[in-house]
Amino acid sequence: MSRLPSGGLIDRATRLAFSFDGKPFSGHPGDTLASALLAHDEKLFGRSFKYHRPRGVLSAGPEEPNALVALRSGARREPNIAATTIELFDGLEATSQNRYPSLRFDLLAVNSLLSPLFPAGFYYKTFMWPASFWEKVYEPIIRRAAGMGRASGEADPDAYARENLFCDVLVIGAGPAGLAAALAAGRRGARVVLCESDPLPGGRLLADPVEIEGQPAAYWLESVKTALHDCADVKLLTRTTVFGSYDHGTYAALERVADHKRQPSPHEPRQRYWRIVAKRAILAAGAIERLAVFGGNDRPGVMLSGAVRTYLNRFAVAPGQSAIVLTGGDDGWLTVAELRRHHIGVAAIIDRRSEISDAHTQLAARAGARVFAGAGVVGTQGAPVLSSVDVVDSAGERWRMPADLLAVSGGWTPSVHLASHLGAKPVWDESRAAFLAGKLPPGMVVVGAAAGNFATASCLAEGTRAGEAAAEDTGFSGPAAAVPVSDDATAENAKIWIIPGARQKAFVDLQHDVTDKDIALAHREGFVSVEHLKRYTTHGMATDQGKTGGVAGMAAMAALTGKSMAATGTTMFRPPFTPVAIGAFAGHHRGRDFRPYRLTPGHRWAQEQGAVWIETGPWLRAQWFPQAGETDWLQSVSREVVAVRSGVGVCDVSTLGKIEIVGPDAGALLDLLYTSTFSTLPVGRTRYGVMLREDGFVFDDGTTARLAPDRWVMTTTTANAPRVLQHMEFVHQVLRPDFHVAFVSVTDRWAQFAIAGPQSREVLAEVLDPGADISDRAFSFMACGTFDALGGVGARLFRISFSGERAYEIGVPAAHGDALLRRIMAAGTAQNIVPYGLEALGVMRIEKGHPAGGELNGQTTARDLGMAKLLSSKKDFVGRALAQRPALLDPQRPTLVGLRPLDRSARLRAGAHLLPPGAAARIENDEGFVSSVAFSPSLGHWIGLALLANGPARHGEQIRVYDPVRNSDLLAEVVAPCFIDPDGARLRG
Amino acid sequence: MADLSAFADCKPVVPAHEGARAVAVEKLATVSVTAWPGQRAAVSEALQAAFGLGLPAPGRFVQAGVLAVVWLGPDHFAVQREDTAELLPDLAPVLGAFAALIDVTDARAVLRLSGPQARGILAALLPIDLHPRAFGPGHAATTVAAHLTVQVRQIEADTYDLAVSRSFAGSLWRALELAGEGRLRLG
Repeated sequence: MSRLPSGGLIDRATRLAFSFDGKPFSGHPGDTLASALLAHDEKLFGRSFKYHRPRGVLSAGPEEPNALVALRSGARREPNIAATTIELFDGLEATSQNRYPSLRFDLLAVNSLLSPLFPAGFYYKTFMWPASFWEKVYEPIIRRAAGMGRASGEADPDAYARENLFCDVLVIGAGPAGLAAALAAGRRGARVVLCESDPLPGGRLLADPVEIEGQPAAYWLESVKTALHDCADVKLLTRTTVFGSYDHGTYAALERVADHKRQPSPHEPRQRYWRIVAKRAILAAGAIERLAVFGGNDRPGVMLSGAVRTYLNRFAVAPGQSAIVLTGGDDGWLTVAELRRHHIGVAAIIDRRSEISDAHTQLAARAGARVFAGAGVVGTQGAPVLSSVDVVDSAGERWRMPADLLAVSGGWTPSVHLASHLGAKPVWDESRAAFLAGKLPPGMVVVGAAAGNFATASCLAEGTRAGEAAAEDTGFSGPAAAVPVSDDATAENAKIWIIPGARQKAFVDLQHDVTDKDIALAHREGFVSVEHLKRYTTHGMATDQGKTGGVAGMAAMAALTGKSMAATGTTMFRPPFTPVAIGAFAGHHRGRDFRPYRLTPGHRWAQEQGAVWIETGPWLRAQWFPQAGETDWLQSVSREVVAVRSGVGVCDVSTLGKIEIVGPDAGALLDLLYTSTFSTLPVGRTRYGVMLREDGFVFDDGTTARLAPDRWVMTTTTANAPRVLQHMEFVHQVLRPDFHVAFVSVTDRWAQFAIAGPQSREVLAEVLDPGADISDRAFSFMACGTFDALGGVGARLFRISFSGERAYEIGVPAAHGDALLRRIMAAGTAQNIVPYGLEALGVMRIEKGHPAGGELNGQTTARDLGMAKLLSSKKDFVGRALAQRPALLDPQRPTLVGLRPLDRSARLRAGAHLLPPGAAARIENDEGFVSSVAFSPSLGHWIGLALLANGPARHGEQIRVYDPVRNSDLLAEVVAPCFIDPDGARLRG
Repeated sequence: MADLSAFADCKPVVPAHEGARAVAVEKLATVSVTAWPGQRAAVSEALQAAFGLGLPAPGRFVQAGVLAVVWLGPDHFAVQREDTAELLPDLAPVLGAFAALIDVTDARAVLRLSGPQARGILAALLPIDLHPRAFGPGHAATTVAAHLTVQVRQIEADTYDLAVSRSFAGSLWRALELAGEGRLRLG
């Protein structure tokens, strides 16, 4: 056991049982999976991506590139989770990844021996020829070999929530700088949101022996937490990572609400996506210790120096028993001191600098450690975990030193990702040996270690000042607060990039197995820009996005090109800062809740009748109403059609768009919208109209009724209702703002039902309150008016027909819709009224040759649809000019016709191509296509509507109807598109 | 015959720990009022004279007894009355000369959300700032909730009205149920 006898922020009184690769372990609340396994001397966590090399724990945070595991099992299994971020819970199950058959014995480790075959750009170079292999051979092989973990493949059983948060000041990171900032702003009364990705606020204060106000930092931390709690408007979100910054002060954050539990509590989301809108943002995200590049720098037992201190002080775990410290600055010596304080042997200290201070020399002496000044590490040994380190001293002599822990202090990289998300590249600061934020997003400042100021004292001072300034900016002034005093001195940032002389692989990107040699190869092949380098070698493109190795790769390229770090530069960062589950973006919008749906006022009744539903846009519409004994949809639909054509039926048409238009210029607006003239329509009449887009193609069609001199109601197709309203707003606001007209959607106000069939008037007479005159003389075809129904409820009545039969549409306020439908059904008992659905409606409109979805496809003109006579030449209308383009007037354009199969038993198929009889099925012979088909129960065979070149001139011809998709090839007769009652006698009664 | 609530087929939700409750607001006669250009003041004065209630400022609504006037957009308002009687015939003689009037009764389904956690639940749905410093009683906004266009009004502390197009009533109900995370009683 490597658990230290005392200390740490763990609850030793509580034991948590967990398993790794099926083997049982135990840990304590406060542990991460990484710390709990390290406490059991488990140092091997997984195999690497490309070479299947053994890997352990490098870090103690979300930057971890090595210790990636699959967490949980079954549907909740999630791959590639950093063990350093997994809070331990009782019953946790984790498995290692990328190993076969087992973690200790891995067959694919042979890849490491074959590494000369896997250079940078390997895939680009290898899987080129033959092209026919791309999809069938190469891709499956690559996909199997690539990637670390596997998704569960099952539906995610957890819920994800989304929430909006607004604040004056967003503070990102609750280390000393962030806490000081939040407190300073919060005490002024500003609305402050403080986000911390860790479960505990404190940052490095949880890991380093810092004193604030003359006491251990823990005391200050407690007092700040209390003070923040006492502020009126401060919200502290722990386990919350701000992962993206966006325009206008918008930030995205992910709260891991229940990831530290076995599973979420009832109603609890697993994670919550916060959309945060902040007037000011203070980036206090700290810094990430970076990888140094030397031979064997990936071996389990090699650990970042700051992470060693975290495991010692926060988790009370000794990550090794015999340590060597490699450092490029003073920070590594802090680790020496902490190792010694915890009675861990320090065998050697390798300082890249040739000058060692007296204090450090004395510290080494007390620790009994040998000091190598101006020295480096060139290799490591141990299978699978570290057993010795190869040191080259300043004289060039090699030493093999036994050790099971190599703490590496190569400097810190400020976490400036969020400052870069809007497109500003970080810029190199030589004095701080780090890339710092470039041009900042509006309203953002960067403080503390994120700004390259690593000392606690400067974090506290900068944080306090930034918090006050942000409060001031957002309207909260007050006296300046005292800055807490801290003892630590400013530390110079170390820079160890590449230690020459490696005889083993030296990695610049541990998660993607990119070595210094890959960088050199990219350089030789001309990929010297950092953006090319990144994509060619995949350096920094793993899920850790190069958090530890990024700068080392840039330094390697800088060394090869002889350019400075400033001239070499770095790549830009993009959201997310750390991986985010897709479920968190989807939130509740999955399955049935993927998008909103709309129900008509007649829904309940239709549900009672056993309607079969179909989604049309957001609407649920009844497709047909099967009756007992019917086994086939066509049977039900044909029955409904026959019933309407011979008796009477009712259909819920509430989904059609309805727009009420009011004002003295309403007629003029309609004249501009429709191709035909509407302003001359008398009150009490309804007219069919077609609207064009500006480009001259048909946009939508429908009827518009004039209810009063200045009051009209327009209907649109169901699908286009919002677009027509939008179009009208454009025409009114932009083209004719002088028109005195107003309009609103009344689609949802009216429950509307079509009563259609030869006996519809008899039914309607029963539905309307007594005294209504709906005789043909008083209420002829295309009449409209207002009547009472249901005992005094105001109803709108329109004598319009889509079916081709005598028909009425009656509308009542939606709350009365259910009652009206039941009344209609009761009133039609004597006539055996039937409800009919969308399919029967479609069959009847095809029988009548009315264009609908298949024909109003955005590519047809009014002429194409046989409606040239609706194009008024006496007035202007939207689309008029461009509808006159010669190509749109060409008679060879496909134009609406009807089709009847010569073999009356044959079935026509929508989408089939039209060819001259005998012509080969080639595109140059193509003359059009079938747009809609239906089995016509009235005619007893299939019929179709089609768009055929020069169609109207070809009635009576035969045409080949060819459908290679469904293997159908037959001859049909070209006829007029209207199959039933072409003179409209039935409409008029 | 009986009216059918837009929420009639929504299943009531009874949480273990109730933090807020949503109930349907029914029988709300509503008229859309669009002032003709330059006539907004005339509309306001006519309303004031007839009903003791003028037009609200942008982003606000005003209320007196059962009558409310809600700002919807520039020169566009909704006048509402909690009553089964038609409102348009009462408004037409008062406002007809100055504004376009369109009866939109029943076009919307309205839920009234109240309780100590009402604001917290709405924060999960609405992308607007509901902090008391930004949005309080008398405020009205048109925004989105779970892909639905929604009109929200704060009636009093901890009480909000949410209105969506009537056909979306079930989706609003469901969105609230999900946003409530077991704290919201529905129905």
